[in-house]
Amino acid sequence: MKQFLLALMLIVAPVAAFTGFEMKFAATPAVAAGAASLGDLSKLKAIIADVQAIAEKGDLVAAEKRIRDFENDWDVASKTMKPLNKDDWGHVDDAADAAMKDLRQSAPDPTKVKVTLAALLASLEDPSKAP
Amino acid sequence: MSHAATLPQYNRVPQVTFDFWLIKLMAVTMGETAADYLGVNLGLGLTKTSLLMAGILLVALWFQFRQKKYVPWSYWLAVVLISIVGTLVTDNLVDNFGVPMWTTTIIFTALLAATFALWYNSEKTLSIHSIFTNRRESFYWLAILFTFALGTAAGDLVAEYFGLGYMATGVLFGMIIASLSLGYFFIGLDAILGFWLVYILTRPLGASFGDFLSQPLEYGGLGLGTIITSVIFLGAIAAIVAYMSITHEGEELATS
Repeated sequence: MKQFLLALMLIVAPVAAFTGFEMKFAATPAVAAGAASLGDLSKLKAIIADVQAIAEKGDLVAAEKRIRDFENDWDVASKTMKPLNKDDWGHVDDAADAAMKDLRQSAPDPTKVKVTLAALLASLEDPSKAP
Repeated sequence: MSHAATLPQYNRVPQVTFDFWLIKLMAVTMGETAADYLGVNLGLGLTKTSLLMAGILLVALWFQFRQKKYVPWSYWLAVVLISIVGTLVTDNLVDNFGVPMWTTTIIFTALLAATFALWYNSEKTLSIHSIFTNRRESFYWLAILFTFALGTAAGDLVAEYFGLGYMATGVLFGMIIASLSLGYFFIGLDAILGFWLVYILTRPLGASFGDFLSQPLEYGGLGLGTIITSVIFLGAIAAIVAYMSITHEGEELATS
């Protein structure tokens, strides 16, 4: 029992020191609402705009190929963005899932694809809004 | 039968040396980046990747149980694979099945505690210097598996719920490990308790480090990517394992 208390103390001490330090010095100003909450999304937006342009031409197979680049970048970025704002991240992630799902149907519906891609782009413009 | 009792028994798992912690830390760093790479790039999806890696892990454990003493390559192969599988399983529970990270952290804590309780109940010791039966070795590996799962869940919980990036998370866990080490060396923290606590905590420390190396520059990492990071660490692990094999570092006779 004494050992467990000792261990607990040894864990709590650095946590307290760390928390105190964080609050005093690293107090990050509340991130402004909107796109800034997840950091720079311009690269991701550019890819989706590209996907839209390809889909607009009617080549949904190529559009699906292009959105894989987005999927990859989004997966990588998620590690950093999710901690920044879990809710906003979730909004974009849901919109992305919906868009990819529509593109990956065996016979994708161009109208649906158009709608979900637009929703995804809107979500990237303002992640704080639920799709 | 009779010579089994008279021959000295080897401990099947390594002594805890500086190299032990070095390689353990590299194994978790690599486990994190390799799991990310496999999950994203293999194109099998998280569930299939998890099952595939779990299958490979079972084969590695089968090799490990066949060795009746500490053999570096088979022991560390099992650790590296457990590290990858532990990460995939936790990611899967959280990302695919939507289990909250609080829940996974509590569940894995309970499972780890239960493992230690059963282990102690059955063997009357939790010593890691007397792993010389299949039953003890089973308890050992089960505990290792849950420490990895718990370390992953707790690390992600701290990073995401408390909004710390991987750098701050790494610093925090590094500080706790330093504190426990000082406790062990200077104020009599129990060796077995200290060992398992640090074993859990090196997981989030190594994972933060792996994320830092592999994440793109624009997100505050060093931009090495998951492949290069994994390969660098795999190479370093292989080098230390080769060194350990040649010098027989870490081998010991089992104490009863």
